[in-house]
Amino acid sequence: MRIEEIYLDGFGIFHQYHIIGIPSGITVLYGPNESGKSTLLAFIQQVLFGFPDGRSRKIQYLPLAGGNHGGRIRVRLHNGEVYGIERYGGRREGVQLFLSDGRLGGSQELSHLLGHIKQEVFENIYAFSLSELQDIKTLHSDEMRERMYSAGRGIGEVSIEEAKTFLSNESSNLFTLKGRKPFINNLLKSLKEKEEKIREESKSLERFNILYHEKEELKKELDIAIKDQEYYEKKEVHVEKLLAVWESWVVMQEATRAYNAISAPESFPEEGKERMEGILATISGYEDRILEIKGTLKSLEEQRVSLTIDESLLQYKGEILSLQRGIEKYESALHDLPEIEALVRKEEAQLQESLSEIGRSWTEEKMMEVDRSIPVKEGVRKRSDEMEEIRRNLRDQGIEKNQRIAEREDLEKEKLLLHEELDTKRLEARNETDVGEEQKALLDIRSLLGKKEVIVDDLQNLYTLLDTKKNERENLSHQEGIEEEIEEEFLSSRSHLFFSVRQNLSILKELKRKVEVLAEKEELVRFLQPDRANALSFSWEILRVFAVIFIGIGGVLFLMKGNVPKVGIGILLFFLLLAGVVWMVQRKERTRKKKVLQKKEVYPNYMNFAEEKERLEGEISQIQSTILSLVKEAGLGEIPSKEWLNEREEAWKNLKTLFLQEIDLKKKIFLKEEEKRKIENDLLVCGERAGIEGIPNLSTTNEREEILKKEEKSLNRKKILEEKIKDIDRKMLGVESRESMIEERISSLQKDEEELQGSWMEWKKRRGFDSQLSPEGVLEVFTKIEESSVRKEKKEEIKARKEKIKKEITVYEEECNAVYAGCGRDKESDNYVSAAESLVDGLRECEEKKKMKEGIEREEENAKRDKKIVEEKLRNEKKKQSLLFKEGFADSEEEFRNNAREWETRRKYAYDIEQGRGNIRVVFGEQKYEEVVRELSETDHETLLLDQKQIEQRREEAQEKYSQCKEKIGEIDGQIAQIEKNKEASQLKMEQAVDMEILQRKAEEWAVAILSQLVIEKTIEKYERQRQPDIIKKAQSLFASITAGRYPSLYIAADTKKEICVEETNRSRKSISQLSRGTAEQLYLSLRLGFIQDFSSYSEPLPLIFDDILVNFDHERVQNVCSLLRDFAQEHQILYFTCHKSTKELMEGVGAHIISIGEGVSG
Amino acid sequence: MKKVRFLHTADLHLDTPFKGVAAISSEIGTRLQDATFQTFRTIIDIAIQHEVDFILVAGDIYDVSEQSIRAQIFFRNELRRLEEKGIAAYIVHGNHDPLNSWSPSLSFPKNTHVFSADTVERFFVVKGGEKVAEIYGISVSQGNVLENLASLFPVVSQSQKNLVTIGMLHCNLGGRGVNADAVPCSEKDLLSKHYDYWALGHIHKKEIVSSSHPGIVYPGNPQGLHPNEEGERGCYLVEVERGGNVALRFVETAHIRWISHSISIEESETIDSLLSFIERSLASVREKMRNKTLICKIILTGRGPLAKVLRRKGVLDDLLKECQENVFVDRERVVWVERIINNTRLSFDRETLKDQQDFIGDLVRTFEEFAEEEKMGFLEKELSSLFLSPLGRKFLTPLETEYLRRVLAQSEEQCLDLLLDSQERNED
Repeated sequence: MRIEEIYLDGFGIFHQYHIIGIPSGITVLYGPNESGKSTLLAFIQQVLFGFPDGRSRKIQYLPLAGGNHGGRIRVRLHNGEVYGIERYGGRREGVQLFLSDGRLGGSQELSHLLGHIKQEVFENIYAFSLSELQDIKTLHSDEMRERMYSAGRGIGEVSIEEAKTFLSNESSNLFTLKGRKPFINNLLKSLKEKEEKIREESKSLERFNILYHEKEELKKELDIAIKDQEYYEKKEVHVEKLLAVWESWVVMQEATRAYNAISAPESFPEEGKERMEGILATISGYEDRILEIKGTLKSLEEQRVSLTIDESLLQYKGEILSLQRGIEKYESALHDLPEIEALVRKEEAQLQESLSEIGRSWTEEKMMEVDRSIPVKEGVRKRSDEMEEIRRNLRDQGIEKNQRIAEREDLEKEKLLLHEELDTKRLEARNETDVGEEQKALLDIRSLLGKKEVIVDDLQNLYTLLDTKKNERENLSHQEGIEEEIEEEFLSSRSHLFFSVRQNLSILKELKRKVEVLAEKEELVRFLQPDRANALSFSWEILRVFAVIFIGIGGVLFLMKGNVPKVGIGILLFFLLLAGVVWMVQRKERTRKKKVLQKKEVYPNYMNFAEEKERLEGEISQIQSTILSLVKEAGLGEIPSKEWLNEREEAWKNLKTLFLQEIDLKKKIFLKEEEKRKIENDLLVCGERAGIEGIPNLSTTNEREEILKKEEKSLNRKKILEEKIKDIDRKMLGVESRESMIEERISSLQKDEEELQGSWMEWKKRRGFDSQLSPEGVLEVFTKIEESSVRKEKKEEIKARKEKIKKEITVYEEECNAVYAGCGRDKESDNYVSAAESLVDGLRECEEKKKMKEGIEREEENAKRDKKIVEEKLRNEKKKQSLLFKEGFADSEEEFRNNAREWETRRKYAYDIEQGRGNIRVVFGEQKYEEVVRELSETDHETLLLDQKQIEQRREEAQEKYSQCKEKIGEIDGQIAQIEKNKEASQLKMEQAVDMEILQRKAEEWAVAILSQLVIEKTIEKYERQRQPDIIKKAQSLFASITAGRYPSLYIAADTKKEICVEETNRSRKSISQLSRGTAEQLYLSLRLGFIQDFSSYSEPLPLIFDDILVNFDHERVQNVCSLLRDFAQEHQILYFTCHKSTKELMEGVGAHIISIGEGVSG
Repeated sequence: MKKVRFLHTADLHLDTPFKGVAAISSEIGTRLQDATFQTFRTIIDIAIQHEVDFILVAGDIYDVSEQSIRAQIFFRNELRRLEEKGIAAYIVHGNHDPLNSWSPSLSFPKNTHVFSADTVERFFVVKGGEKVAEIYGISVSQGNVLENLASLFPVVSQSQKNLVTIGMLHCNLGGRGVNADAVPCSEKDLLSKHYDYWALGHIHKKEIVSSSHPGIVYPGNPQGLHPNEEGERGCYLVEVERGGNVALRFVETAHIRWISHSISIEESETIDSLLSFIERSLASVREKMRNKTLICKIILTGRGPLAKVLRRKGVLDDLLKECQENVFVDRERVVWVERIINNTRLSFDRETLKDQQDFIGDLVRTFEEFAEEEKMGFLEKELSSLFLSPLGRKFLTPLETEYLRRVLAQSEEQCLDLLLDSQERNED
C-alpha cells in the first residue's frame, strides 16, 4: 500500500493543505522546524486509526487555521486498487473508505485493508518519530510479543493472548478458589445444602421405627378397651333382657298357682265338644238320605215296565239305511234313461254319413284297419318331396349340359388359330443347341481378342525400349571407338583390364611415397647422434645460470658502494632467486627434449633404411613393367592417367549393362510374339465354331452376334405358342369329362324317378287306396278317416252310459224287496221310493225307545249303590260317637259336655304359663332358661334397674378409651403413611444426583480450561526459551548490516526479563543499556524493520513513515541505513520527514523524491 | 421327577437415584424416581402371572446408604401381594442392604424367608404336601464383607440327594465387579457344592455363568441405574430339575432403558439439518422400543464443517435443549436426550501439527509431555483447588490417571481449536 495524496482540511496549522503525487519508493518530506512535519505524521496516524479524545495524552491537533478537523488520504494497493480514506472530527466522526468501484466502507474494511494491524503496532513500528524509536517499552508490549509468536507460528492473525484471556475467563466463570459467584462454587454450595436436607429427610427411618413402637403399644391398649367394651355390652344386654321378661315372669307365677287349684279329668279329646256336635249332625243327615233314595227306586221301575220295542227292524238296520242313501240316485236314473237312448241313435246316423264321404266301399271296420300312424303319414309326405326333388335336379342338369357344349366349341376355335401361327414359326427357327454353342464360341472370341490387344500393346512398348537401348549402346560404343558388333565377354575383360591398370598404378604410387619417407628418415638418423647432443646442451645451461648470478653479484657490489647495503642485499637475493628460476626452467626444458629422443629410439638402426629402400625400388620397377604390359594389352600407347582409366572403366561397365539389357529385351519380345501367335490360332478355331470364316475380328464377331440374337428371339416365340396349345388341350379334356359326368347324372335321376313311381303304386295297392290317388290325395283321406273315428268313439261311449243306468235301477228295486221280506212286513205301495221311506221311519222309532229303556236301567243301578254307601257311613259315625264318649270319660252326652267345660279352664292357665316360659326362652335362649329362672327368682325389679344403670356407665367408659386409642393409632398411621409416601427424599436425592452430574461435567470443563492455560503458558515459556522468533532473526541481519558487521548476533535473554541482547564479533555480549544511544537506536530500528519484513510476508505491505530518526547516527551508519531503506523501498513506500539538509541529500543519493513542506501552509 | 419353577432377581436398588444424568424435566424426573419401584412391581406381576413356585431375591434390594424407608416398605408390600397368591419368597441380603439394615419395625409376610447372616440356613420348598427343593443361603451381615461366604455352604451328597438344591448368595464371582474385594467368591467354590442352581446377585450385568449342572446365574439389575447400564434389564424365570437340568427364560422388566446413539455429522451441513437428522434417527429408535422410557446419550462423531460450529460456546447446550424440548417427549413413549457427547474431530491433523516447527508444533509436543505418567502429580496439583477440596472430594470423581489424560486430550483439542481458529471466532 502506498499513500498517493494527502489532504488536510483542517488539522493543526494546516488548512486545505494538499500533497499530491507522492511516488512509491522513498519520499523525503523536507522542511524546517515548525513546518508541520510532526503534524503530518500525526495526521496520517489519526486518519487511519482515529482522533484521540479528550482523555488521551496525545495531542489533538485542532484546526488552528480553519477548516473542518480532519482530511483524507488516497492510497493505492499492490494490486492497483485505489482507496480514499477520509476522517473528520466532530459530531459525525468516523472513517469513510471510498473504494475505486464507488462502494463505501467503514472502519471494518479499513482494518482489513491494514491487515488488522493494531494502532499501537502501527504507531510504534510503521509510523514513528525519534521519541518512539528510543522508547524500549514499545518493543515489549504484549502486542509486539504476540506478533513475534504468531510470526513463529506462520498462521494468520491469531492471538495467543486472546486465547489465554478466553480460557482464563472460561475457568474463572466456572470456579475460583474463594469465589461465590462462579458456577461451580454455587453448585457446590447448593449441593452441600441439599445434602443437609437429605440427611434430615433420611432420619425418617428412625422416626418410622419410633412411630411403629408407639403404634404397637397403642394397639395393645386398644385391644383391652375393645374387650372391656364387649364385656359391658354383653352385660348390659343381659340386664335389659331380664327387665324385658320381668312382666311375663310375674304372670307365669300366678297362672301356675291357678292351674294347680283346678281338678279335671286326666285327659280330654282335643276339641271334644265341637267334635261331638259334628257327629250328631252327620248321623241325622245320613238317615234322611236313605229314605229319599228308596222313593226314587220305586218310580223308576214303573217307567221301565211301560216301554215295548220291534226287534226285527233293528236287525235290518244296515240295509234300511243303505236304501235311504240310494233313493236320490234311483230317482235320477229313472229320469235320465230315455234322453240317452235318443242320443245313441243320433250319433249312429252321423257316423254313417262321414264314412260315405271317404268312399263307397268304406265301412266302420275298414276304416279302423287303416294304419294312420305318424310314420306312415311322414312316409307319404317324404315320397312327395322326393319326387319333386328328382324333377328339379333333372331340369338343372339339362341347363349345365348346354353350357359345357358351348365352352368346348370356343376352345376348338382358339386351338386352330394357334396351330396356324406355329406352322409359320417352325419354318424360321433353327436348332436351339446350335445357337447356344455359337454364342459360347463368340464369348471365347471376345476374351481372346482382349488378350491379343494387350499383347500387341506390350510388344509395341518392348520394341520402342529396344530401339532406345540400342541407340544408347551404339552411341557409347562409338564413343569408345568400337565399330563392329560386340560380345559380352569382351566387354567384361575390357573393363577388368582398365581396373588392373588402375590398381597397379595405386600400388606404385604408395611404394614411391614409402621410398621418399625412407630417404627422409635416413637423413634424420644420420643427423641425431645421441651422446653429443646431451653434453652440449647441459653445459650451456649451467653457463646461463652463472651468468645471472654473476650479474646479480656485480649489481650488488655496485650498489654497496653507494651505501645502500640493505637494498643491495635485497637485489643480491633477487638475483639469486632469478638464477634459481633460470636453472629450474632449463632443467624442465632438458627433461622434455630427453623424452622426445627416447621416443625416437623405437626405430631400428638407420642402416636398415637403405636395404628397405632398395627392396621397395625393386617392387616399383616390377609393378611398372606389369602396368606397361597391361597398357599394351589394352592397346594404349602410354600409361594413361588414373582419371582417364576410371572413366574408361565406368564407360565399359555401362556398355556391358546396356548390352545385357538389350539381350534381355529381345528375349521378352520373342516370348510375346509366341504368345500372340497362339492366341491367333485359338481365334481361328473359335471362329469356326461360331460360324465365322477366317480369323474373326471385332466387326465379324459383332455381325455374327446380331444374327444369333434374332434367331434366339423367334425360337422363344415358338416355345410360347407350343405351350399355349398344350394348355388349350388340357382345358378341352376337362370340359369333355365334365360333359360326360352330367350325362351320367341325368340318366341316374331318371332311373330314380321310375323306381319311386313303382314303389308308390305298390304302397297304394297294399293299403287299399285308390290307385289314382297322388300322395297328397292320400293325405286328405287320412284326415277324413281321423274325423270319422272320433265320431265313432263318441257313439260307443254314450251307449255304455245307457247300459249302466239300466242296471242301477234293477239293483235298487231288488234290494228293497228283500228288506220287506226279511222284516216280515208288506209293501204298502209299488212305489219303491215311498216304501223305502216308510222303512226308515219305522227304524228310527224303534231306536229311540230302546235308548230310553237303557237310561232308566242305569238310574236304578246308581240309586241302589248310593243307598248302600250312605248306610255304611251311618254305621261309622255311630262308632265314632261311642269312641269319643269313651275318650272324654263320659257315658252320656250331658256328662261329656260337663267334662269339656272343666278341661277348657285348666288349659287356659297352662297356656299362660307356657307363654311366660316361651318369652323367657325367646329372649335368653333354651340353654340359659334354668339359669335365668333362678336369677329371676333371686332378684327383684328395683335391683335390676339399678344394675342396668351401673353397667351402662362402665360400657361408655370403655368406648371412650377405644376411640382415644383408635384416634392415636390413626394419627400414627397417618404419619407412617406420610413417611411411606414421602417422595421428598427420593426427589432430593435425584436432584442431588443431577447436580453432581452437572458438577462433574462443569468441573471437567474447568479442568480442561485450566490445563489448556497451563500448557499454553508452558509452551510460551518453551517457545521463548528455545526458539528465536523470525523477527529477531530478521532484525539480527539488519542490525549487522547497519553496524557494518560489528554485531552479527541478536537474541532474547532466557531470564525472566526477556531482554534483547547483542553479541559482538568477539562473542562478547551486551545488553541494550550497555550500548551507546545511537547503537541502541539502530538496534530498535532493526527490530522494527525486522517486524515489518515479517509482517508484510503475510499481508499488504504498509508505508513506513519516519520522523527524523537518524539524527543520532554517525555518517557511515546513516549511509548504511539509507541503503537498507533503498532495499525496503522496493516493497514499501517510505515517507521520511526531516529538517536536515544532509539527511535530505543522503536520501537523494539513494533515489529519494523530495517534497518540501511548509510552503503554501496558510497561517 | 422333582422340578421347581421360580423367578430369580437381584440388585433391585429400590429408591436409588439414577446417576449420571445432568438434566431432567419434571416428567422425566417422576419417571426416574418411580422406575425402580415400578420395575419391582412388574417383577411381582410376572411371578404371579406365571404362577411360579417361589421367587428368589439375591440381595441389594435397596441401598442402605440411601436410608430409604420407602424402599423397604414398598418391598414388604409387594411381597404381601405374593403372599396373597401363595407364592413364597426367599431373600438374602447383599452388601448394599446388609441384614442388619432392615428396619426391625417391618415384618415380612409369613411365607417370606430371609436367610440369616450368621450361618448358612436351609429352607425346604413344599409342593403338593411333598418336599421338592431345598434352598441354602446366607445374607451379608454388613456393608464391606471380605469373607468368602461360599465356603460356608455345605456340600450335598450327589448320591443321596433327593431334592432340587439351590444356593443363594450375593457375591462377586471371580472378581467381576468394580470393587473386586467385596463379597469375593470363585466359581470353583460353587461347583464343589454339587447344587443344581446358584442364584447370585451383586453384578448388574446379567450373565449366565453356567447354564446347567449347575446353573449359575447373575440376573443383573432389573433396572439400569446409570447411562452406562445400557441394554436389556430384567429377571430370569427358571425351571430346575433335580440333577441340574435348568431352563432359563429372561424377561425384560426395566421401565427406563438407557441407550447411546452415535450420529455422524458428516452428512449434515447445518445445525438444523443435524437436528432433524437426530430427530429422525431417534424416532426410529423409539419405534423399535415402544412402551419404554428411553434415556438417550447421543454421541456425535465424524469430521465435517459442523465440528467447528459444535465447539462454539453454548452450541451443544442449545442443541441438547432443542432435542429435549422439541419432539421427543409425549405421554406414552419418551425418548429423553440426556446428553450430547461431542466426539467429532476438527479438520486438522494432529500428527502434521506435531511435526511443525512453530508454536503450534511446540504446543502439541508440550501436551504429549504432560500426558506422561510422571507429570500426573503436577496436573493433579493444578486441579487440586477444586478436585481435592473437601467438597470436591465428596462430590467429584477422584483424579485418576485415566481421567487426567482424558481432560488433557480435551484441553489439547480446545487449544488447537482456539489458536487455529481465532479468525472465525472473531467474526462471530
